[in-house]
Amino acid sequence: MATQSWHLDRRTFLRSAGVSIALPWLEGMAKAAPAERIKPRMCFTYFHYGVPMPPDDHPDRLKFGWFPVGEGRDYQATETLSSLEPFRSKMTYLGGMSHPLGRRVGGHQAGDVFLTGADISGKLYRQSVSVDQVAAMAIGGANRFPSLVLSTSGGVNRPYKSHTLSYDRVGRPIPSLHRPQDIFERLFGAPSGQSKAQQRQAFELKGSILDTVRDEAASLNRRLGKRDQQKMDEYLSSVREVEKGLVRSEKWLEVAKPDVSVSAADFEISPQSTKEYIRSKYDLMALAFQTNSTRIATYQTSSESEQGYEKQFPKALGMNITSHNISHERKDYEQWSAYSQFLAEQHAWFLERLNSIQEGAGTLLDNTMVLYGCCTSETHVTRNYPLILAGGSNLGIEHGHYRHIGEDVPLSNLYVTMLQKMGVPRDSFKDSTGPLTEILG
Amino acid sequence: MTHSLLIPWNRLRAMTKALSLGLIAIGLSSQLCDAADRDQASEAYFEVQVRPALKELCFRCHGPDKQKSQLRIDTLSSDLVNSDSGHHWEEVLNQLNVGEMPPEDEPQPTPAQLEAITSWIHGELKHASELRRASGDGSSLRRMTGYEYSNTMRDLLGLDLDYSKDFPPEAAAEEGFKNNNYVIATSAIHMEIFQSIAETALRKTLCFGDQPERIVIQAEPEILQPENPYRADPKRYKVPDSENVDLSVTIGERTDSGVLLWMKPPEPGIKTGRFGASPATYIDIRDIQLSGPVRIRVKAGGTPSVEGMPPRMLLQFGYFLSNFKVTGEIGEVEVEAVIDDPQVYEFNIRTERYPTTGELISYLKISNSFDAGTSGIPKAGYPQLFIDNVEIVLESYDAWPPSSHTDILFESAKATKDSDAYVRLVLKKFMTRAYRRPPTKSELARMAGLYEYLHSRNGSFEESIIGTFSAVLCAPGFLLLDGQAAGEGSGTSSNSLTDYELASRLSYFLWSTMPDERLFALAERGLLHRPEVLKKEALRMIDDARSDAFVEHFCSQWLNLDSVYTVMVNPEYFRGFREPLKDEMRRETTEFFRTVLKENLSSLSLIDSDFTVLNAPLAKFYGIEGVAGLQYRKVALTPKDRRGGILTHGSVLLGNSSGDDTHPIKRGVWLLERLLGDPPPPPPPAVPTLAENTVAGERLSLKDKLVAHRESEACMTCHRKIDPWGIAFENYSGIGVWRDSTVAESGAVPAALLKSVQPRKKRESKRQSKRPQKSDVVDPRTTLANGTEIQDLDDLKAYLIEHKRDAFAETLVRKVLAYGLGRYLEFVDTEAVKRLVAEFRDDEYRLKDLIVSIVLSEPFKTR
Repeated sequence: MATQSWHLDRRTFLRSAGVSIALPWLEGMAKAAPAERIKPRMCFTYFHYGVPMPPDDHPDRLKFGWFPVGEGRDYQATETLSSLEPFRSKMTYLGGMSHPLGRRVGGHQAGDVFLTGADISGKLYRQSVSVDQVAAMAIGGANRFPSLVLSTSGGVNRPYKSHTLSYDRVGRPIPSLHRPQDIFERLFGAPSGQSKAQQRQAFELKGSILDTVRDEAASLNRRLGKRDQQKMDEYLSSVREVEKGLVRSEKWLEVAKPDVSVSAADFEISPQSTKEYIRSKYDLMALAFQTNSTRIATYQTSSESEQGYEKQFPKALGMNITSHNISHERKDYEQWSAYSQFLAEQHAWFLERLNSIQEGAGTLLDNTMVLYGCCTSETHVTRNYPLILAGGSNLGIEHGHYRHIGEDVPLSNLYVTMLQKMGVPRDSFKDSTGPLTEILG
Repeated sequence: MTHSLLIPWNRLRAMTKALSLGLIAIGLSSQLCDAADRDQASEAYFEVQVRPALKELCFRCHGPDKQKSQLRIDTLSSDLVNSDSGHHWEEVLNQLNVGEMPPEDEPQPTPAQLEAITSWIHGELKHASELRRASGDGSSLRRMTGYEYSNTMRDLLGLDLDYSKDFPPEAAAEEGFKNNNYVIATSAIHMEIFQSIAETALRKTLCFGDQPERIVIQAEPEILQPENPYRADPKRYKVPDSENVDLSVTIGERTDSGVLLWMKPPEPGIKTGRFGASPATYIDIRDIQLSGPVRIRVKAGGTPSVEGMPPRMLLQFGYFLSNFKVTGEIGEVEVEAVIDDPQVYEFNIRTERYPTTGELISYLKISNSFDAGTSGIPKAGYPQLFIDNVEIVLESYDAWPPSSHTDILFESAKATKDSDAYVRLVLKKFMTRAYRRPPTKSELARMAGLYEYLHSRNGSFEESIIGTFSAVLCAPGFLLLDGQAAGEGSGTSSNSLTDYELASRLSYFLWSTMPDERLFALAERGLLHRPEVLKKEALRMIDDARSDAFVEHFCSQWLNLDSVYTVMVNPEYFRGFREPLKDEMRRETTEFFRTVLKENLSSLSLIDSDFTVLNAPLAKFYGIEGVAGLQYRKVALTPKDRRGGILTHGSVLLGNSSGDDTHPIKRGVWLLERLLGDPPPPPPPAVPTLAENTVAGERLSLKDKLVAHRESEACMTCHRKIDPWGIAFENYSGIGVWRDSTVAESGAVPAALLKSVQPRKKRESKRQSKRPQKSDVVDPRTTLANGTEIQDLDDLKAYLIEHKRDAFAETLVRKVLAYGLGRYLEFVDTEAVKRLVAEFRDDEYRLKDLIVSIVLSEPFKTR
């Protein structure tokens, strides 16, 4: 078929929940240096098409609903999200929040603004930088990879149906990676049999090639019309990005890529094996955080595009319906709840992974802020986003609550706080009105 | 303030034009003589005449409070030249012109209001488009798509590899095309990939070292031993103790001279699995680094099945990874040679195209794929495939260095005497082909400078050449198409493409790759832009086999044929449906399109035809008799075959179904969007689906559900325009099989019906009945939104040809033009589209003629 190069005969392997890949040297390091300053991480994950919302007086409200009942510390979690209950003390439900500018588009198109808060209404589609990239630009340089951008279907797809959560400085979508084995190669693959001197030489060669083509582009640019210049600028900034990456790689040459005792072959997982496919990327993010390869990641577990693999995710549950249609059959709370439960279980698996890795006095989860959410609540309603912030207790986030924040507070306020907790000196993001102090202890 | 300007705007414009030509103004102040004043007059007219009318008619739904269809008119800029409001205004104009807006139940415009609004928009659009064209500021610059890049690399380097397999997936623009310069983006990831592919590819293209040793593997299956000698009927064979090569058979029989790959027919009453293994033999290759060209010769013969089906030999190449296999297909042939006189079948491949790794065991799999792509297994007697022997030659270069090397680093006296001059010589030739035009002096000097730099930094000649050529392959001159305006041009104005650019536009349009020698030569001589030359070239290119790229990419993107792969066919309802059949379905449509194009038939045959293009597996699936073999060929149809035109193709029917059942809405939307150019707006938030509308306790037929759905206020406005089209397809099941009732022999069941019997959880589903409990007679009768009654799909096709041919023709013109230009059409193209549609009609909608007209049209020759 068109999107897959090779057919996988059988499913590769099943990894059970919570079994982490052993990294003895890292844990050793963590124990040896308990006093080391905490390294904060942030991670944004997205799921598609909203959540089931039976009315409060519905007999199955607690069974099939998504949002908890009650408020504050004493909230009652729903059965839909029972898989997340083990992390109750390390997570917070946020109620009522959304991006005010994101409400200007319909629910079929709202997903693109999750991390940007941009106004993409009208035919012009103006995006702006996403919160993860703000952090990546400010502090990402300290790691081998400033950020990691992952999704289920890869690339950028098209406006309103993006296959990526991340947008660069000027709002251009950053292609996401989706093949687990490619991501593994990028993070942990070693250049085959090259000495450091050879690698350095290779970097230098690449550098001079980029210099040359950039020069050519700049001279062509002067002869182009206004609109063509925009295209050429895009080319030029890609070249500049790669050049920056080269400089970074050269700096990192002295530090060997972490040896993670698994191989790319372990990540040859077909999108048809839905659960393993979703988990493989959660797993890679955990590995990347654990090895400090990056501190910033986004993962669109499922997009609202009709072209992607996620369209068929419900088949993993034996449901003969697309994920989009589940959300339109909104009165079938049972069905929708079962699907939301499935997605949440994979997320819980990730939290468990992070929580099972010791780091200093706590776990990796305590040093990682993980946002899980969607840009619609009830079917295509672009308000009251379902949001769960987990992890980051060591960073000063006080968990264990269902916090009703309300509609007037832009979601960007949460991003301001998350940026600040990452050590990024920002007091605003997009349309924020200040930090979200409610979540701090 | 400007009450003196109460005249229709088109008249004012005419006068303004006259003024600018220096004629005497009548009744207007002489201030209008320059452009600024023209704008001022336009603005004044807008404020006094147009805006009040818009306010009265439109702002309530498209203003500050509501923005229906995401259109807000009160804030639209009235300056179409310096803003992007043009296409919105064009939309407003269209809606008014066709009377769609304001809606029937809203106040209607007076003739004066209508005249004021439409004449103003029309005049402004024209003015803006003239200005924009004259400034040459249209955008057509774009990066090559993944497939264009791969094809171009293949032709430039002379090495047939898949160069784009590591690209991030590329999306299609809203009107369907992947080469659209608005959606196609370049990012750092692309640049990294370009750079690494360039280097790897050049190392394979340029072969500096000694010729690698040829390795010949001869496999004679008769040496096989039963794997388990204790079994009475051993099915698996193996060669014991071989060093690098291992031979095994999964299902089959060893004979005295080879191996017979076949299966005994299942005994009555014994259940056979749907996904059972095919009879196959494996040749495993261990500890040999695989690279470069490989030649495979299989000496084979066969015996057809009782029903006359010859065996199909499928070759695959791949490697074992712990307990599963990663494979790529090499090829498939029908073996017509008989067992007593086996013939040699030869395949030439590049290992790089296949998943191989040096460390894991690679294998060649040869199987008898008689059952692939068919919906049934022969009831008696499988075809037999006999393998006499297999020869595999690794590193099978025809010459050394290979021609890919000598074409680029050609022989020259300078090669030894003056290496710097030689480098400039090869660089100039390479850059001319890579940039599809001669490089400018400074471009050449820049690359030569890079070579000198690399060479001076203790790089060898070889390494410095690879480095420099990599730069060429990452340069904008290579990667970006159109709009570079460099090189020698023969165009008359700055807005016209140069002959070289025209050559590229032609070749990426029709071949999805770089121009060939002939186009280059015509561009070099400055002849290509001449209409008679262009026409001749366009015809030559269509007739050339390389136009398969146009057929494949245009047709599949236009009709969204890849959707067959995103629909998962439910095996419980469609027993015997096999995934490979999707490839055949997709192929039928592209083959059909190719026939219409090459034979220059009327495009209306896409809607209905008395022939189709089939091969045996698909013919069998459709129940059409008398088609044998894997080759596609034109097959005459009778009306009872019910397969005329693409509306009845499996690709369209399956691709727009749910996998469980038909999906009239999807089919309707597809028809509107792809064939009639009238895509419905996206559904509003929070609308219920079909199932929710079920009246409690009552099981409605699918059609009744659609009716109920339409009756709901939120859905009605759009669905009364969508559903009726889709209902006419109802006689074709979810996988495209003809049916008279919803429980057809293929087991097609409407999803709506199943919902009540179908459990949610997998574990329960096994116990549940897979068969539906109620059947309905299919009722394809439908009434279109305009009141026309349609009996069935045949009737709908007749209606489309009779009453919708203009819409279809304009859609096709727009689609082909947008694809040819690699951008969205804008209002500046409206006049050209009109002319093209008129020509298309005069040419009786012949497809080849349309392509020629497009190539000769203004937008195609300009930036």
